Amino acid sequence: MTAGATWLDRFRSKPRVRTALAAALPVGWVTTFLFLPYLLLLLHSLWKLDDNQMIVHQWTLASYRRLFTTAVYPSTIWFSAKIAFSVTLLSLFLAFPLAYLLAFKVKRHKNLMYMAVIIPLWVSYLVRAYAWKIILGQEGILNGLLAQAGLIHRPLEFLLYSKWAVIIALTHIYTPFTLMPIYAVLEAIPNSLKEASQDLYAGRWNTFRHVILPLSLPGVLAGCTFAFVLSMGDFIAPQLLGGNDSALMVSNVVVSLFGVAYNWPLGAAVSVVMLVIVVSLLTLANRLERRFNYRGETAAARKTDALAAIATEARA
Amino acid sequence: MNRFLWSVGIGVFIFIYAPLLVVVLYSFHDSRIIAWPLQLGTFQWYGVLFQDRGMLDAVAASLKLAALAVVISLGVGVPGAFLLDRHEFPGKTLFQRLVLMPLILPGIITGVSLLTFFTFIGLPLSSGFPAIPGWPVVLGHGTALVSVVVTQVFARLQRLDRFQEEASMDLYANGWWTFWHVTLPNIRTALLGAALLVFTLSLDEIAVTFFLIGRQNTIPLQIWGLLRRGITPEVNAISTLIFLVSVIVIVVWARLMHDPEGANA
Amino acid sequence: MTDSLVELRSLTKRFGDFVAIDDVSLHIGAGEFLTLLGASGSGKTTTLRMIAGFEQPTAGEIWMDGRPIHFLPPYKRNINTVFQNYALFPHMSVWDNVSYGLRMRHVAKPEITERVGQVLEMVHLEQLARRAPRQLSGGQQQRVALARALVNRPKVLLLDEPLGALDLKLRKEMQLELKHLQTQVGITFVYVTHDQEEALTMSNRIALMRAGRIEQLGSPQDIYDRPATRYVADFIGETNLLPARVASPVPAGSGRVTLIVDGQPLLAPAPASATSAGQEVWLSVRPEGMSLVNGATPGDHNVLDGTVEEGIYAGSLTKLRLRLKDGATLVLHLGPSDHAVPVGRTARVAWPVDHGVCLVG
Repeated sequence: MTAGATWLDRFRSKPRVRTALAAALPVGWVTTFLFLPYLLLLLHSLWKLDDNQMIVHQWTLASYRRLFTTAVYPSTIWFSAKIAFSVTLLSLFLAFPLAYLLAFKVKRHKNLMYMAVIIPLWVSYLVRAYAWKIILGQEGILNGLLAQAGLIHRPLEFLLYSKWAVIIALTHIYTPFTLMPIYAVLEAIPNSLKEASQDLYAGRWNTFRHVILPLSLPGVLAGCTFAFVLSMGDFIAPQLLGGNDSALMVSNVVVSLFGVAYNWPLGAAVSVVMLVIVVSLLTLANRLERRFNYRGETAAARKTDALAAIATEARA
Repeated sequence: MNRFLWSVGIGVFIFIYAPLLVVVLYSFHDSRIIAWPLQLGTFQWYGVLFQDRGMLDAVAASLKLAALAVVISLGVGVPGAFLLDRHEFPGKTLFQRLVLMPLILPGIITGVSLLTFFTFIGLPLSSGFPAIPGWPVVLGHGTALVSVVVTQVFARLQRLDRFQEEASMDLYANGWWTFWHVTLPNIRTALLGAALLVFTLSLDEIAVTFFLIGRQNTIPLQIWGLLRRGITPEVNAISTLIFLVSVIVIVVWARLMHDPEGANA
Repeated sequence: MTDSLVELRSLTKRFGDFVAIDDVSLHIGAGEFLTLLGASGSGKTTTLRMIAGFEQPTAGEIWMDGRPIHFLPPYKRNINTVFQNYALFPHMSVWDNVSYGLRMRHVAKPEITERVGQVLEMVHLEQLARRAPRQLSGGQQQRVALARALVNRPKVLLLDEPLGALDLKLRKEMQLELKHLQTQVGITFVYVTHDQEEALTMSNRIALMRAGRIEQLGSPQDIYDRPATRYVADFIGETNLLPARVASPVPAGSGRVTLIVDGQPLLAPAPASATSAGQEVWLSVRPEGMSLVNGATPGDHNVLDGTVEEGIYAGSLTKLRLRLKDGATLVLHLGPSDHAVPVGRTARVAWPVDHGVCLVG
């Protein structure tokens, strides 16, 4: 016996209605609490800060002008980019061998070992950055060990409170993060490709160079992009470990402009510039990744993989 | 070549872990000054920790904030994941990008944006019930972490066997019943995993919290405060505890992820 | 006998306690098409992989051209493999895939161009040289894999179930193409498959493997007409396996043995091993070798009576199933011109004595 159809059934069976109902909450929320805030950020960058330190809703490009003409802002952005670049490069050189090892040389307990490498990602970012204070300080572990080994007679001062400390700490924090996509891609290379390469007279180095390396590029790209973007946006490590260099990363500038230096429009402008840089990088990475994606997997599948990877990041 | 690879790999592994080990060891360091050499042998810093009123308040605030973040992010994220998985609509790509922004962008940008938003609409940072953190930071955490829920649940939905739902409806169950009794149990571990993730990430969240926090402090901000005043070994103790909790959480999460549609979940 | 090109000497392969290959010895001749046939888990693929060099034998040796090769890595053996899933390099064009082996051996560029062009023509893929593997159909990918291996002019070509992923019609076409290719090029083919029809069509010799051992080695006719064991008789083609008892033993391999089948004394060629009186054996008779008898029995034929249970129409033939007095079942094939027998009637079946095979194990 089939129940009779009511007008409610008819109404709800329309695909548009179903979509509208399903979309109401998520779209509404995201619009209110994500779209509007980002929009407001942009608007603030175009508003004016009057002489009484009040934000006036008048359109002006003064903030951007100031940003691009005052030397300190572009140089800060450039400095941040350089640090982020160093961190990315170092992370890559550390992450790749370990990822390779895990993917190809570890036979037993592979999952366990992988988890072991990922665990630090989940430990508080602050803890991991702060640990370097202990290690690199004048009375810290590194200096202590070097002195005991007789290698130095005075503590190395440049270690802590310098951009090197920031770079080392950020590398330490983001290496597992770079490792994840590289591992995922290496793991996905079918064993038969390695065997085929060897069957065709390529030794281990040639197999690596001609087969494994090209196929690892999407993962390398993803890992490097995340490391770079996250490093650029970091403001904790520079303040903890940067010393005199502590205010010279972009995010520190933003923090002070929204705080002590109270200039929200300018702060918003700097943020918008940072946002543009980051989004451009990500778009570029996306394009490149599609070019190097030889397996022909659907974009949706890759996206969820990459995103699942991001989802376990611990960021400041 | 093999030996070179192994030594580099192990070296990197040590590099990833050593600093954490340092913090844990120094939480037992018998001196007020954190310097080399290490003098093991005391629990005093843990004692100091448990008597630090400010820190304990921060722990309470963090836990409440995390719990609320889980509720919000699940409440918005699960429908969001279903929306992305099953519906097409104009602006879907924009919606997708928007949802992912907090994950992809440095937290500071999201934090600053939310700050301008709440200021603009005139919601004070310490508004809300006194016992819990203010509305802005609660809404901020929830929103920022919606992305986590959406990606996790969406990934699970994509792998879901649609035919089970069709079978259920073929056998006379209506939409709601099917959702509660067929779909939901199948994505249960994804939901739990996402909730766990959100909880942990919220506890450690700094960037967004920094801009939106009202009178209360969360654990990271409290630690941050202590660090700026100069290191006290108490920080090592709380850090070690955080480490332990994190390890436990990730082990549980890993178990969930490898036990699809849990016999025990 | 052709010179033996590859020799497997007492090969054994163990994975933990699992014995995948158990003391296998085999001579493979130059220019022959040898098939390793068997069910999954029989060890045929493991054997192939050991010849290629992807697995090391636990014991035993592999010799090629008078020299031991079992300790050499794959890239030092003059052997190429066509993989089951083709294993084409996704980031290289068809041309780069096919030229890979030549490039690795630093062959001069002009020679590479010539040889790759030749082999692509041979497999009819000249037009697709610039394409990427994912833009090709399964059949095309399979031919690229073949070309990639052949262009190196190996002494031995190993093929691991290369046609498994293709649909039936394409598979049959490719079987013939591969066979022609092999005769044309003259390279030794070692072919692995679980499809016995495929093996019968293409091979010079078949090694039927079971649980890590060679159950029988011989030409397709040998294996089909004179299966050595019950397993072989059952695996290849369709057959009737009638339980029988030896009435009077005869010396191994000579004359005929008398068996009691379904209470009747029947004759069969003597099996290769000695028999004893009362020994329980099997009589294997292929359905197409049997026919219905009305009236007088032809000479030198065995005869059995049974009740018709079912007739199954199968296009070019009809399979008739009969039940014998002792309960055993018999299936025979009727051609389109034979008269069908209604279900429930008794029928008389006959076959030439020499068509039967007495199987001891």
